[in-house]
Amino acid sequence: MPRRFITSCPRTCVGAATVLCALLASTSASATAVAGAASVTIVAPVIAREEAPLAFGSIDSSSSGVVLTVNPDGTTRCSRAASCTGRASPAIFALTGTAGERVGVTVTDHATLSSAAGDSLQVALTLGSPQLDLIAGKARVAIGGEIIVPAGQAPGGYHGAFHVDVDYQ
Amino acid sequence: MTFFSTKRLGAFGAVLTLLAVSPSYASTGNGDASVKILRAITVTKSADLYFGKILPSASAATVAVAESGARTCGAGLGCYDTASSGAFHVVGTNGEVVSVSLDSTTATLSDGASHAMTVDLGTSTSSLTLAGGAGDFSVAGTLNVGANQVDGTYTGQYSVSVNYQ
Amino acid sequence: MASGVSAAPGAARASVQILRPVAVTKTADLMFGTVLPATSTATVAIRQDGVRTCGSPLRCYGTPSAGRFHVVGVSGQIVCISLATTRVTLTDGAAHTMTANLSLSTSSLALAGGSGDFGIAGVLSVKANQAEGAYAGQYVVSVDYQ
Repeated sequence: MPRRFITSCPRTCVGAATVLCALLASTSASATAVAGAASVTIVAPVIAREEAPLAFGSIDSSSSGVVLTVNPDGTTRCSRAASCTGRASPAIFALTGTAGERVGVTVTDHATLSSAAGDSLQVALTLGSPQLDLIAGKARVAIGGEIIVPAGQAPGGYHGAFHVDVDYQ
Repeated sequence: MTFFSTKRLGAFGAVLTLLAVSPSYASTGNGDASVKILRAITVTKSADLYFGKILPSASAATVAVAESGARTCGAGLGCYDTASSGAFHVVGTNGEVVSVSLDSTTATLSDGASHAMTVDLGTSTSSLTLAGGAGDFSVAGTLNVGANQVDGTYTGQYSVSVNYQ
Repeated sequence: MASGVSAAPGAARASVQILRPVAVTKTADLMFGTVLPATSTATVAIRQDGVRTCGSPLRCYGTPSAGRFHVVGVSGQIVCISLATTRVTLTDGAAHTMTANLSLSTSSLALAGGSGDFGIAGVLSVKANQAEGAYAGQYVVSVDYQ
């Protein structure tokens, strides 16, 4: 059998002599050279801006408790039609970020609405879509909610805030 | 009448006989005889002729290995591993001169499956002085690699003759 | 007349190994994924096993991948692998660039059964407030018999 010489392979070209080393490495006419691609996508921070608040309109619970559901698609359902008036509509957030990227949205389960007098009401929040594609760098997400107003709830304006998280995936 | 004694005649006859003489022309000297008895020559191979690992091309080309072992890789070919010239060690009678020759200047390498290549052999040594009773010589070769030569391990044999002169 | 001895018994051998070209195909690109830059320079590293480490002010998303190549050649041979250069420049095609330092999983590979695989790992340097965009670059690996 022909002899086998254990020889080590030359080191990869590094450092200041890179160009010369690369030239020497590539002069072997019978070496096979293949290209690979390296890639990365740099994204801009995604921003969520409220365009419309979550509104439940006016609810009369003087005679009985009322449940008002506002769906992300804008439809509403009032347990007692006569008790719900005014405009009820979902919250709308405008998202901006890197075009073509997909983002995930999360929202807290509940929000607490409070009145100036210190009374409170709970709202269960519903997210319209947990994932959205930023078409041309934009998207909209709706957040609905269900409010349960017990009978005899103290009248007044109730306000609250909730937190929406948006992130690339 | 004079009378001689018979005795006197006899004595005269004897004297005549004693006067006969032989001639002298040969000479002599010392001579030496000698012979030198030689020990049988032994030739052993110390290295095979190895061309290395060759990547063929679409054109026929050659790979030459010099007696020094240096390899010249023909245009278009890829040559790898370290090549080696053939080498022989000769042992014989101290101080004698021997003649060296290749039994054939060509050899055929085969892969054992119908693929073959020829090698042209050569050596610059035609005679060798056995200083200290031994000597060495190398054999060079040029391998003829065919276009798109089929891959595999190719081997062949060659022989040399060494004689006292 | 003195007689000689020829070396015919144990005649010398001449031999050569004929090779066929090595075939190298890329089986995976080096992908750092999606990165949200920070206000300071930081790095994103991908190991040979594809695991990504995101330098702390950065945020990383998407699926990363180490580079990978498949080599086919003469069974039992050893090949040498090299990178023409260990630095690759990624560009968005609009004058924004980043640099990644590359490393091979091995510089020599034994073609057991006639084939083998090797990988490329990398460390990407993301500049402070790196401009948004899709960046790409190319690197060249060279494979040769030993």
